[in-house]
Amino acid sequence: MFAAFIGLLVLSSPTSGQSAPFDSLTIGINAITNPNRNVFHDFWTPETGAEGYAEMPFYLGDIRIGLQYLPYESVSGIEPDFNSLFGYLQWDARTRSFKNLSANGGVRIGLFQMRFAENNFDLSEGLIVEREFAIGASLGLNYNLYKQWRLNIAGSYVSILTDKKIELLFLSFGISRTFPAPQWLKNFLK
Amino acid sequence: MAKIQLKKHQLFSPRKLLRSLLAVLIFISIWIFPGESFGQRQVIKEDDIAHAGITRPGDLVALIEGWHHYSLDGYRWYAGDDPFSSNQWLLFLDDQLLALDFFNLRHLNALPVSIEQIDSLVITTGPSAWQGEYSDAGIMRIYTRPIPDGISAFARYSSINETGDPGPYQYTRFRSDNVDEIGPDYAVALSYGSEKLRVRSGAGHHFHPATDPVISERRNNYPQRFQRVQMYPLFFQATTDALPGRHQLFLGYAGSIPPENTEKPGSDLLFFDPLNTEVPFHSGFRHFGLSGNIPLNPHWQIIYRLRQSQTSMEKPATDIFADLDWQMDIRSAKVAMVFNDISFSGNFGGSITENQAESRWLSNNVNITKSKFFGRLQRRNGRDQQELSVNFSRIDGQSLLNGFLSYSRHFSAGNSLKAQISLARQAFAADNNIWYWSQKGYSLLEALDLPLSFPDDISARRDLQFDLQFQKAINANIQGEVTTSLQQISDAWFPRQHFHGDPPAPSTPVPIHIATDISGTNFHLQAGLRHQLSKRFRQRLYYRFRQPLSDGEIFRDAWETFPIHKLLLKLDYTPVEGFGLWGQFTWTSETNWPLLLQLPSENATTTVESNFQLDLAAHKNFWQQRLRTSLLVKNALNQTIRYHPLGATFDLSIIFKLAIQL
Repeated sequence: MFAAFIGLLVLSSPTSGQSAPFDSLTIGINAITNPNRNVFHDFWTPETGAEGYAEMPFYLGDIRIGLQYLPYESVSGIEPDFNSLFGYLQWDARTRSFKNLSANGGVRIGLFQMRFAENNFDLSEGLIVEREFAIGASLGLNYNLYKQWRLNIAGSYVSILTDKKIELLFLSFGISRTFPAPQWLKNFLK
Repeated sequence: MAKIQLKKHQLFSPRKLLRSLLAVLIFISIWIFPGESFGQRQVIKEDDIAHAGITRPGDLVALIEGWHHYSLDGYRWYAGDDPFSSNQWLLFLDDQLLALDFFNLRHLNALPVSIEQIDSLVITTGPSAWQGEYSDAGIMRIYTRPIPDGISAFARYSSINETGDPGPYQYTRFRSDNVDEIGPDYAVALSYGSEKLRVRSGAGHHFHPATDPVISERRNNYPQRFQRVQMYPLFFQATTDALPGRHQLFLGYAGSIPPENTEKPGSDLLFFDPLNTEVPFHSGFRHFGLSGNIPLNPHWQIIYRLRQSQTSMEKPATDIFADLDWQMDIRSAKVAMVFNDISFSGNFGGSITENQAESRWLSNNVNITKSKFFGRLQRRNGRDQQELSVNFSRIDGQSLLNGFLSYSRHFSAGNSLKAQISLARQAFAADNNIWYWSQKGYSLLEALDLPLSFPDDISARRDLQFDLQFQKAINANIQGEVTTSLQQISDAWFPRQHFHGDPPAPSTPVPIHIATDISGTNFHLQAGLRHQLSKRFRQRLYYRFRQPLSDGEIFRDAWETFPIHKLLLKLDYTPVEGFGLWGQFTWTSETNWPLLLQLPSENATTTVESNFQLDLAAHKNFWQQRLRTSLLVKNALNQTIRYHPLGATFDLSIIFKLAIQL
C-alpha cells in the first residue's frame, strides 16, 4: 500500500498529457463472479452479482466510483445468508489504445456492507448490517466496440479488513459508454 | 563535624554554583531580555491539519514532532516533553489561557472550537514562556481562523471506522470481539463580519465508544452505555475594533451528554490513575474570557486578559464506585505593557489568579492564589539577538523564580546559531494533580481504601536546561537544524505504587507513595530536514533522541516511559489546488513502565513494543473549494499499535470527513 502511495505521488502529475480532468463521464455495468475459494467459502458460496460504476479522467489516470452487489448463500444453513454491497473508489492508470484494445490497472478502497438474512435466525439488531473497510487492486482489458461504447473484462482482488481477513477475487465482464461531462458537473468537481 | 562538612560540600556543589551563575546572569542582564520559548518551535498551519485528514483537536498531538504522546482509549491523549511534567504544558486559544484540566490530563478534545476553526498552532517544547505564563513543559498556542466579511456558515460530518471486526465470521467458530464504529462527529459554525465587529458561534459533537477488550474487561461490570464518551463543545467569539485597540470576547463550553434512559450522569470516561482503571462520569468545562490591547503610541500598548473558567466532574453513574465529584473554578486577571521598537521589544506586567476547588471530599473549599510578575526584553542588534525573560510567582506559599536567557546570531538567510539557558520552577500545586489535592485534604482516595503517603513538604520542581541550536540552509530547497539540550531536573516528584511480596490482583488497591527529591540529568538531541522538492511537493524528516545520564532509579524508571528514539518522515503533495496526498511515517522505540505495577493480567507486560505507524491521507475539494472531503487511513500498515501497557490496541482505521463552507 505504501508503494502504491509513493507510486501515486510520483505519477500523479497534471502534466501527463491525458484528457483534461473531469472532461468525460463513463457509465458502465458488469456482471461479476467470485471464483476463488478459501476458508470464507467453507461457510458461504457466492452467487452471480452485478456492478455499476461511473468513471472520469482525473489529474492523472481515471477515478471511478462503483457499487457492486453480490449475494452469498450459507453452505451449511447454520450461518445466515447475506447480501453484500461493496461501494468503492478506484484510481486507475490506463494504457494507450492499440487496435481498439487498452488495459487499465489501479487500486481501490471502499466499504463492504453485509446485510444478513433474518429468516430463521435470531439476530440482534446491531448485527444485521455490518460494514467493513476493504482495500484492493484491479486489472482490466477494454475493447472499443463502436464510437464511445466499450467492452470490458476485469479481475479485482479485494481484502476485507475483518479480524480474520476475507480475501476475495472478482471477475467482471460488461459494457460501458462514455459521454462528454456536463458543464455543471465539471464546475462542481473542480 | 560530619554535618559541617556536608554543608561545606553543598555550598560549593556544582548545582549551587550553576544556580548562582544563572541568578547573576538574570539580574545583571535585566536590560536585555526573552519572549516565547526557545526550545524546538513548530508551527502547524490550517493546510497541514486539513491535509492530514484529522477531525478532532485531540488528534493534533500526532502532528507534534517534539512531544511524546500516548492514549489508553484513542480519545484522550496524554502528551508532553518529559515524564515529570507530562501533560503540564500550557494551552492558549487566541492568547487566552485555557484550563482544560481534568486532574493531570489536559484534555484537548474538550476544546470548545472545532478543528476546522483552527488557523494555526504554535508549539514549543521544553521551558517556554508566553505573555507572562511560564511552563517547563512547553506551550501550545492555538489561533482561530480570521472571521471573513459578511455571513458565512460551516458544517462538517466525520466518522471513524476501525478495522478488526469479526464481520460475517461472528456466526462461525472464528467469532471475535466487535469493534464499534467511532462517531459520527459533527461540527457547525456561523459567523458574521463587518469592519467594526466580527462574531462567530459554533457547536460540535463527538462520540467515542471505549469498547476495546482491554477496557471492557477492566470495567466489565459497567453497563455498555457508560463505556463511551459523548461530548458536545460550544463556543461564541466576538472581536471588535470599534473601541481603541482590539478586544475579544470568548465564551466556551464542552460537556458530556448523559446516556439515554438514565438520569444519572455519565458519558465521559477518565482513566483514574490511582485505580488504574476507567471511571465513567459527567464532565463539564466552561470558559469566559475577555482580552484586548489598547495602543498608547506606535511603540507602546497595554494588553489585558480576564478569564473565569470552571472544570467539573460529577459522580459516576454506577453504584459500584465511590462517588467522584470535583469542581475547579479559576478567576484570573492580567495586565501588561508591551513595547516594540527597532532594536528593542518586550513586555512587563503582572497577574493574579485565584483557584477554588470544591468537592464533597474536601472538608472546606480550598482557595489558592497565584500572583505573578513578569518581564521580557528582546534586543536586536544587526545579526545578533539577545533575549531575557524573568517571571516571579508566588503560589500556595512558595516563591518561584523562572527565567531564561538566550543569544542568537544569524549568519545569513536560513543560517543561525542559538544558545539558551533556562531555569523553570514548577510548584507541586501548579500541576493540578490528584496527589496535590489529596495533600490538601481531598479524601476520595481514603474512601476508596487506597493508602496514599507523601512527605509533608514537597519542594518545587526545578528544571535547568541548556540548549544549543544550529540552523543551516543546505541549498535553496533544503533546510536543516540540529538542537542539543542538557536538562537537569531537581526535586521532581513521581507517584509509585508499592507492595510487599507477589504483585496483587488487578483492581486491588495498592498503596501509593509520592516519591520526591528525584534528580537527574537528561540529554536530548533533535535533528530535522525540511525539503521542498518542488512547489507542490514537500517533505520533512525529523529525529529525536532522549537519554538519561543519571543513575537514580526512579529518574531512570520515569524516563523509560518515554521512547529514546522517535523518527518521523512526512510527505505532502498538492499537485493542484483542492487535491492532495499526504503521508506520515512515525517510528517510536519501545517504552517500559516499571513503576506501573497493576497489570490487567498475568500475561501482561510493562513493556510497550516499538511502534511503526504509517498514516496516509487524501483530500479533494469540490464546488470551487466549498465542499471538502478527506480520507485518512491511520495505521495503514495495519500494525497492532499500543501506546500504554494498560491501554487499548489500535488497528488500521479510516477517518472520513465531509465539510461544507458557505
